[in-house]
Amino acid sequence: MKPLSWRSLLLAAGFAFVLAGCESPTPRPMGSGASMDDTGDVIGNVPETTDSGGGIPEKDRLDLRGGVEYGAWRAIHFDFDSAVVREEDRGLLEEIAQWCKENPDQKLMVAGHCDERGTIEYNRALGQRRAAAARDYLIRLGASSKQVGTVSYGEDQPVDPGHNEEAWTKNRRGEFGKVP
Amino acid sequence: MTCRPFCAPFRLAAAAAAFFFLAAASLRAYDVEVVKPGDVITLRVAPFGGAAGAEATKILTADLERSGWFKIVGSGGDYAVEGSASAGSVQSKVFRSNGTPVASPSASGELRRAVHAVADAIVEKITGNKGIASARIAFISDKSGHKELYVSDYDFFNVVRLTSDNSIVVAPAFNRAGTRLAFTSYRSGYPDVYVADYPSGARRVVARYPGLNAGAAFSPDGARLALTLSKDGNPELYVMSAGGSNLQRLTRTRGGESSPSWSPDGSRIAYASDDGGRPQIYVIPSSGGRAQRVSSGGYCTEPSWSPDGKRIAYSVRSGGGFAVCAVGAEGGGAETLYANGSCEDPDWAPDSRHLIFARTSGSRTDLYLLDTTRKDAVQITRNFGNCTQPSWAGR
Repeated sequence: MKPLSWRSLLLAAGFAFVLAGCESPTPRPMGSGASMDDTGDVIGNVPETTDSGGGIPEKDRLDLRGGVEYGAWRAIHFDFDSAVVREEDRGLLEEIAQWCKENPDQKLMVAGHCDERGTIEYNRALGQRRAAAARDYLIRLGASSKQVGTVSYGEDQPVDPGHNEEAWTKNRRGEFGKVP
Repeated sequence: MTCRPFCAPFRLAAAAAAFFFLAAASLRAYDVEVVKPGDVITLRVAPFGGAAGAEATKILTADLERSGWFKIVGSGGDYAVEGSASAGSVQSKVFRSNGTPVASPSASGELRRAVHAVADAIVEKITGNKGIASARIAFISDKSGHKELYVSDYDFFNVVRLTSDNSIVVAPAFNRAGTRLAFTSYRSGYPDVYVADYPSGARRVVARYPGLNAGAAFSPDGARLALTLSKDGNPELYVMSAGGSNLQRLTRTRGGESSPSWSPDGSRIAYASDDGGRPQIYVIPSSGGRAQRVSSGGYCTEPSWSPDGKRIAYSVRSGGGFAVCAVGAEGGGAETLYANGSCEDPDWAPDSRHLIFARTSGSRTDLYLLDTTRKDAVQITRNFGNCTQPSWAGR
């Protein structure tokens, strides 16, 4: 028997990853030992990257001329300067993905938001990565890539106008809206 | 008075300063007229004659003082300016202290703008450096209840609102000629990039891909735009023609790229990326290639490349807010330029000496103009909602 080639090993690894992805998407973890102080600055080990680096490309834009109805589901939340979907929000994402699968003709928007502590345009990119991370998750759970769109508002639409940790925690979020 | 030992170095320094002052003065008086930052020239503005003389004198004095090059004096002085002003026309004469005429700049048009033009001509003639009084600024204000785009003179007069999108308008950027503005608007429900003519405001959309289209910056020749798009997955840096064609992707990272700023020769672009963890400032060839990191640690975003090409200013997270720093474009250490209140989105003025930025103090955000040589900042906007994301024309 010939030894396994690198190519087949990679294929096998890729297949295993896809399978794992279908079961339970696993975002890239923070660097081990990294934690944050109350200003949000990372202390200890700095993570190599703060998210999955994902973003399944969107081919077309959903038509938003009829507006978007946010509020059918609660928001999900993120750590400071992170676009990693939290463990506690996975159940909700499974529920939304199920809705997508049961309503293939319905369209869904994911909006990414940030707290005010980053800078404006950096936050716009971060909000996009948050929306994309949630969208990727939904697609890996079976939603159609044509069904789910993204928008980032950066720090421009806080739910809580306060300048404290309580407000910031609420504002770092992803929202889900039905496109009528 | 007895002189203690520590007086000696002081006397030496004073003597050296006097020598350099005399050398600089003689250079100014009889030789090449290029003055270096830090030199202080004394200048007297004699009250202007004519129907608008008093107003013109006030505007001119403020312009020359704010330029940073001059100490305005009531009598004597290295130079003196006199002139007259009526509605629509300003004449002036500039003399050296010995009475030698230097220049006689004049300008016509709306009084404030005419005086600004005369002020810039005086700065250029005496110092050999570009003035900033004629340069307009674009910025965002939430005064109307929505973030909209405004343009004003550099001293916050002649304020004009350019958008009425009743949505979110952000990230304005003038071209160098001051004839067009790129900005992001959520008018369609998505962040799209538009280019508008100035002053007409007539606009067209130049980027409306799925996801994020944001933060466009004109190349120095005005022909291209650098911007952030997420159409291929996550936010990446792209370059395209100012009309939206010939799109070229520059970065390929797992992080997000934002806030492009062109080098003055158009060959390179500085931007912020968090591909390595915390956001840092990188420089990449505008035709594509390898990115090089130029900042060193911390949370660094919003680079602005100085028009003389020498420095890249940016904001760095500090305490609960942001300080303005600069690093040499060709290497060298970072220098803190201003750390008082929280200062975001610095943009170099056409003279590469001043920076405008949005400073938050308490819960209000206003634009401030920093003289990076004197290290003092003056408030520009007042009682106009929160003003953010300033961008100079003419740089």
